Amino acid sequence: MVVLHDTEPKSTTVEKVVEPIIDVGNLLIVDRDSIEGDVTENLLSRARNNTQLLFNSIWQLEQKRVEDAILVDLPAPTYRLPREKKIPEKKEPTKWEKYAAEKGIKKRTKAKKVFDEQSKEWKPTYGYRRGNDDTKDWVIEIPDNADPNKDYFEERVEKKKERVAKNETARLKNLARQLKTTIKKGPSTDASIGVGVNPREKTKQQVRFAVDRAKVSTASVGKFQEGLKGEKVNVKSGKKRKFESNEGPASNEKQRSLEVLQKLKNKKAKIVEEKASIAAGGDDGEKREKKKSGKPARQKSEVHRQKWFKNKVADKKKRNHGTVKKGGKAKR
Amino acid sequence: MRPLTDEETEKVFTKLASFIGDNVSMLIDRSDADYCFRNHKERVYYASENLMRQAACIAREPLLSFGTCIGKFTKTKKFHLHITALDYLAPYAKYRVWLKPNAEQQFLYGNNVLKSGVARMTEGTPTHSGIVVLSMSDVPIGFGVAAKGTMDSKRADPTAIIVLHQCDLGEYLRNESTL
Repeated sequence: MVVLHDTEPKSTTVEKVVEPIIDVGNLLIVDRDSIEGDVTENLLSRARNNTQLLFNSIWQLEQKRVEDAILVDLPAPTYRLPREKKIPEKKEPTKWEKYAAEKGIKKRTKAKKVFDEQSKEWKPTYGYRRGNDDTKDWVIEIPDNADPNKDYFEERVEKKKERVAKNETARLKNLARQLKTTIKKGPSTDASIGVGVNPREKTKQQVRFAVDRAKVSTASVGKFQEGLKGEKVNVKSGKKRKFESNEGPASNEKQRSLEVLQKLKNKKAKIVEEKASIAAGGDDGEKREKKKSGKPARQKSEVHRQKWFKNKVADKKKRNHGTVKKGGKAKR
Repeated sequence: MRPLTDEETEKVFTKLASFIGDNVSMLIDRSDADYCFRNHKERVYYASENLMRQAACIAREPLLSFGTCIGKFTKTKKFHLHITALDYLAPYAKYRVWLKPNAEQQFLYGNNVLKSGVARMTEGTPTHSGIVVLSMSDVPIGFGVAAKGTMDSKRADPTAIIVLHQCDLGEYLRNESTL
């Protein structure tokens, strides 16, 4: 059980400085008094007073009693509430609608039901189980002077399909006109669909990416794929670049850059030493000179080549012999 | 703003080393304060640690510059020095060339230095090394690459190019908007 604070009931009469707008149809009250004093406390009492006012006006309406409940018919709302959604834009009329307006053709409403002669029943004009359904005909009379070998059932189906298709294109055209775009005439036949860009039309970068993708398209995601000689590393390795933090300890960074510098120095020194030693005719230089002067070792392929050449020369000699003989005979 | 990667550091240092040799370490290890190199929008800035930390408060977009701009990375990731780096190159430079007063203007307009304009040159300058260009009153006015070493230039004819122009003080006027 709820124990209410025993406060004495407040009076039902409320006095207002400015007459509030009360719209009982919307159950709405608009308080137009100015706010004074402590806002929060005032607001509470004001809300109660305003509610009281609204209920007072509801009680003044004509009441009905249905068993225990008292009912009231609310009048039509007078206060116009703002619309929730924006007013729909006016659609551009379809081509037929324009034409009809021009010619003054008005829409005729068809009856929903038609009388079916065969079953002697009223049936829907169109749709499922419609009356006078010509698709249910079991026989078609062949018109005069017409080809008797033609399938007239098939023809009906075809014609229906055509009409549907025509209507569909007209609908799409109207839609395009409303959206102010133009219909594209079907997919182009010069490029085959689903195979991507023609390799000849690909940019250098597109080819590059395609090669990269192919390289990692193995079972091991390219891990054990040996690169070709002079092949470039993948442009996108999938690794994100990482930088040192901007505000790390300064000594760390100094250390790092000094290391880089040291590495550079070492690199340079190596090159200079090598050059110097060659210039001075050191070990390296001597070796190279020897190689130049001495005959290089015979390779296997070279031996092969020599043999083949010998055979060829021998063959030629034989053949020449023959021709000479023949020639001699002819002369004689 | 971010520290240079090892790769970038190497590029910057090799470029600097072509002008100042081992003195690059003097730029890294300074006695007065900690100095650092920072990459900001593909430009390399050389600033004191303190200044860098203060500049880091500013967002990337509005931050135009801080410290000294040493140079920039091109789109192909090559490093180019800017004329603003001259302040750090000139005092440590290994190889220098002094120009005659009438050749000074030619150089400041962005032209290469010819043999006829050279007054003096550091002994033992190898070819293709970075070289700082000074006026006769020892004021550094730019830098470039030695097209001919000291030995070769002695034998060269007066119209031969000795220093290939890279940067000069005139760029402060000519490339004011892009520096």
